[in-house]
Amino acid sequence: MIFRQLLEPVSSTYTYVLGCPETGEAILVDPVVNSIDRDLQVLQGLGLRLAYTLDTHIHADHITAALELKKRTGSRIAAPAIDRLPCVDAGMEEGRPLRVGSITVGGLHTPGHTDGHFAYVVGERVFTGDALLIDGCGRTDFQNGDAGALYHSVTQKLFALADETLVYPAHDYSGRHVSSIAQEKARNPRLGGGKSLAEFRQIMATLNLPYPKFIDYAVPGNRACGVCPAGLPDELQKYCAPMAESPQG
Amino acid sequence: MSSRITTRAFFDRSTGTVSYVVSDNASRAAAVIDPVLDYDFRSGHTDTRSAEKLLAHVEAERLRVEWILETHAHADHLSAARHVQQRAGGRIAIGENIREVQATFRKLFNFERGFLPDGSQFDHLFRDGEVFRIGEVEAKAMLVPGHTPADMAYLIEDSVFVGDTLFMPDVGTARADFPGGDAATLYRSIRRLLALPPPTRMYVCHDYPPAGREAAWETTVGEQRARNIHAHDGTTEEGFVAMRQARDATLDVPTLILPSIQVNLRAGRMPPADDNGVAYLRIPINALPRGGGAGPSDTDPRSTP
Repeated sequence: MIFRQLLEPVSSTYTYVLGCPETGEAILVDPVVNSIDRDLQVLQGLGLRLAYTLDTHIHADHITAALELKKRTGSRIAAPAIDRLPCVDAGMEEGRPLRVGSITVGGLHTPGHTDGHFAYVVGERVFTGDALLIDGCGRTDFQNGDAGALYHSVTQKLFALADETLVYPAHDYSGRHVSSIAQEKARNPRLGGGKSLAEFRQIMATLNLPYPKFIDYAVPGNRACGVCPAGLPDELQKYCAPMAESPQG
Repeated sequence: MSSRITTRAFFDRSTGTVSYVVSDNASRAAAVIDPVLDYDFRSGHTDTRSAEKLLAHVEAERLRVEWILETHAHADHLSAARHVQQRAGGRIAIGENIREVQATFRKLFNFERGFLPDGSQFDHLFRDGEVFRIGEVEAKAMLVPGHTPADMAYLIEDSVFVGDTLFMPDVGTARADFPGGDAATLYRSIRRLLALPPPTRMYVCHDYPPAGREAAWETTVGEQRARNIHAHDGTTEEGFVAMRQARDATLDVPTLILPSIQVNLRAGRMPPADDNGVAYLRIPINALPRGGGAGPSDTDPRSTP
């Protein structure tokens, strides 16, 4: 499989390119609207044609590029079926993998950050969205988030994957790119090392995080598969403006 | 037993290769040894998943990669040295005799004019016995030719990383029939390694586990002297050479020898792209030397019993 990890710096989101070398078809996992041009350039450079965009969940910190990429390239929109978004072409469910060329994407329902959140397993890699981050996890205080559900998702579903499985999160805020199931199981400060549900609940209840600054625009925009909301305040314009630089993860 | 360094092994099942991350506990400086770039022979595509396993460890432990050490120009897998360097930094180093290997294969592949067999593709070339540092820890490069002319072992504290010389005791030793390889030379290199103190931890570069045992990569000098099926104490040079040559004559050419050599002699870079922007690897027709006087298809870097 052709694989690239791309960084969108405004929201520190990782977008992943999965390409089938035989058919030239590609999937973009969690593409971001302001890095569309960069992502299309990368696909073109690799000789790939975008078949699907695939979101892990309804994001609150950026606008998905799914709809805009569909308009530009004819790609199909895949996302968790459970969210019942009318704009989605292929609803992901557990036990019903998405096949694109030689790539098979297995969905794992991993609620807790949001109630519809999915992680995706592709060979030796798992794309964990915001359920499991490197040494962390997504917050559980919005979008029907639930610490108990996230604990179950991570410890029962993600930690049940092979130890060697590479963990690719949707974000990292300190420059790390990749972890492994064994590593997170052993040392994730919130969920690893045999942390109990009670300990995890306690940690999540006392994070004291600020209100997510973009959530009120991002969630409705993403429920429409990626519409940049009208009337964005100046300080939030950067979330919909084309990316200035193009780092490549 | 040293508590100054931490050694982590990463085993690539598809090529049987073991890569290592060795770090100085005090300074968090690290050396990455023999990282693997995954390569799909059918499609010509590379993948970085093997290297990402060791990078996940480097990132989690906040290690500072100072060195990317190649024990030799591998013939069975492509080196991920460039990917590791781009992600984590470090100087890519190999033994100085790599020049000899480059000269041999430059002719075979008719490399572009700009390719010089001077080792300049690497950031550093080690001499035999050269001492270097990984953070505060002193390390030594030991020339151990025989499998190829350029093999180096790296002695770091109480641990020696031996590349393709000795394998696990029940597997034996590396083949010696590649261009520039020599069984008698390999024997002398092995004796040199086995002259290290018996408790020295020995880490091999490949494992081809016999049926019924899990892959393994760590042993000791003492264990090897007692039990290595090809090179235990009491094995004579003549006996070893006869065994090695007979055995090498039965081995197939490694599947990835042609792509591996072309990339690894460039310190893990792909050849320059053609005018269409695509890089190509070359396949010499009827020109690959057959080592060891072998049959129609001759080699595999392994030397299973």
